[in-house]
Amino acid sequence: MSAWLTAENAGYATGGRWLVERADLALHGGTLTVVIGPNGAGKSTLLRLMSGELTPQRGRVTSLGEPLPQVPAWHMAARRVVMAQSGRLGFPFRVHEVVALGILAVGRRLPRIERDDLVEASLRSADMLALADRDFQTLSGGEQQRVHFARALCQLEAARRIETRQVLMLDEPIASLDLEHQFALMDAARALTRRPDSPVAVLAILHDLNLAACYADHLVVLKSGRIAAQGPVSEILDEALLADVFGVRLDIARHYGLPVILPQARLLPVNPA
Amino acid sequence: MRKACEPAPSGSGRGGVVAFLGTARHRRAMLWATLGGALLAGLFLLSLFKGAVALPAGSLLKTLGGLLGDGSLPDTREALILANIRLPRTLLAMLVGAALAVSGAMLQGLFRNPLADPGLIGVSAGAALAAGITIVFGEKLLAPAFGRMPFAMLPLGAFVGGLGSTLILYGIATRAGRTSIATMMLAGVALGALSGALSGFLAYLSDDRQLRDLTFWALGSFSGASWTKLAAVAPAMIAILVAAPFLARGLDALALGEAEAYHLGLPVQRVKAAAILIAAVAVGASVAVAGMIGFVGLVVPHVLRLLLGASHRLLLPFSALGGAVLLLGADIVARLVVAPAELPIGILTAAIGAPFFLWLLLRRQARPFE
Repeated sequence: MSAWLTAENAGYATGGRWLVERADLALHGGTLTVVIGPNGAGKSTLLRLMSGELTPQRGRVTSLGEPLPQVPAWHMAARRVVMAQSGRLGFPFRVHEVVALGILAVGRRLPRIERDDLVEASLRSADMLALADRDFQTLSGGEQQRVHFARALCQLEAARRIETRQVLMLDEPIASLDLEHQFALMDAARALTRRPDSPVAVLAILHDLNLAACYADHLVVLKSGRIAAQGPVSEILDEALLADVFGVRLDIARHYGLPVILPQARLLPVNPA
Repeated sequence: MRKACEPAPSGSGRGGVVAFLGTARHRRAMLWATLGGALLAGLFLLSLFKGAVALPAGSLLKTLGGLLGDGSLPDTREALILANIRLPRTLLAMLVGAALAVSGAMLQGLFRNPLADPGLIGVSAGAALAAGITIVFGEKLLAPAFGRMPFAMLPLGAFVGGLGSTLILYGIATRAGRTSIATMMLAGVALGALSGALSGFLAYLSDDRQLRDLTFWALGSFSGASWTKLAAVAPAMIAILVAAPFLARGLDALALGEAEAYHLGLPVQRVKAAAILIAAVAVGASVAVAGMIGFVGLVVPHVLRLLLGASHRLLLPFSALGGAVLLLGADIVARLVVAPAELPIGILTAAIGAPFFLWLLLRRQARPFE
């Protein structure tokens, strides 16, 4: 099966420094791809390249075979949905209004009843229905993150009528969430990839290595703008590799058959020079 | 998958929370539209009645009826005042108020900040400077050819000035898709001061009549309203008032940020360009016929957000209504407080608007600038 979204030798530089130097990454339907790496490794830049927000200065990114800059914005909105890291609003929008923005480009022609139902179902999936009429600006960081997840679900669902080969991109989606909602969000993302009809391709940036190990079908390790390793979790979860990338000594244990990553002491020096 | 315990809201016909909220908002909007419409109609009549010359209500209504009926106009002093002074002035105040409030709402959406106002961020000053340049130099250059400068030059000049200052401001305040509010306000103040200084310099180059015109521009007034002025700006203003609501969804999406708006499928550059153009046309046309009138674009959208929420689908049309109400009301007050003389309306809106702006700043201290 050919990939839905592909980066080939893609690179992006600013201020004379390559944030992503060269990246080869293919996103397939039904696969949950997790990107891990230390701060400044280029994770968000990679996601922004794949989403079409940034245009690579080297190599290319293609969606269903088409190079990204040539795909119109509204059509990209049907093929890939992004939940970005920050999502502050300048105005006192209600929660349900923010979620309804997901329908903006792709669902305009839907009757109002269907649009309302879409928004409602998305709010319920993100456990935000009870706060549907709250001013978004007054929510906590975690609640805001859940609203944005609901918005992403809403766009995904509305766009499914146009394009069934969809990619969902999540940039640190659980950074502010409590434990219960961390699992709920990741479960929901995984369920999308396991959907029998038109399974979604998910690309998620995570900091929690245990969650990454728990949910990833395909694990990508980014270091200094380069993909240090990628593959199935079992191949990538290597103590030496992770110690080298994160500069922290790790033990990988097994608990009920699942890998558990236990950070030990700081490894000094990181790179003996 | 609807929960059984959710109460079915009465009247909506369906059980959904979101559908219920939508219906409630629609009802609220209808209520405010009715109230606002009634208020505007009342002010419209009041504006025809009240002024330096008292017009008896009976003859006024008869004249108005004749004018609307068969277009006839009795040859009396009252009828002339009504038809040639009060009516164009009333219509102009409503149009300018609507245009300024809509442009304020658009600029705020564009800059993603509720503190943007064409007066505060130097757009009006830029338009006034360009209008001043047109007055002082335009006449020298064009008078030999046309006898007198064609009036249409003024709105055109003011529009170019408004567009220029908006573009400069946006260029300065926006880096890599992020608009810095602090930079925008400071650059706006600097641009406004520069435009003011250049306008002041123009005063030295102008003759007496031009100087009076320039002063009129700086303070803002509807005292020079005429059918000619109305005809010069009404088409553009009505066009932008009709066009503005089409940008509502785009401005809603831009509230999330430019990258997010692109992710949602918005052609960001096109929407931004359209919003800048509309705001510049509105401010330029307003400044050309009424001078600089500040704070309308700040106060009206802000109050409306409190009443109706932030969604631009309601905000833009209601801004037009609210702006018309506010400026027509202010013009009536300006005509009455020192009658038979009148106050420049810009003084009045600043006297209301500046304290309101300060109150906004104080209220926002809990949630400081980004």
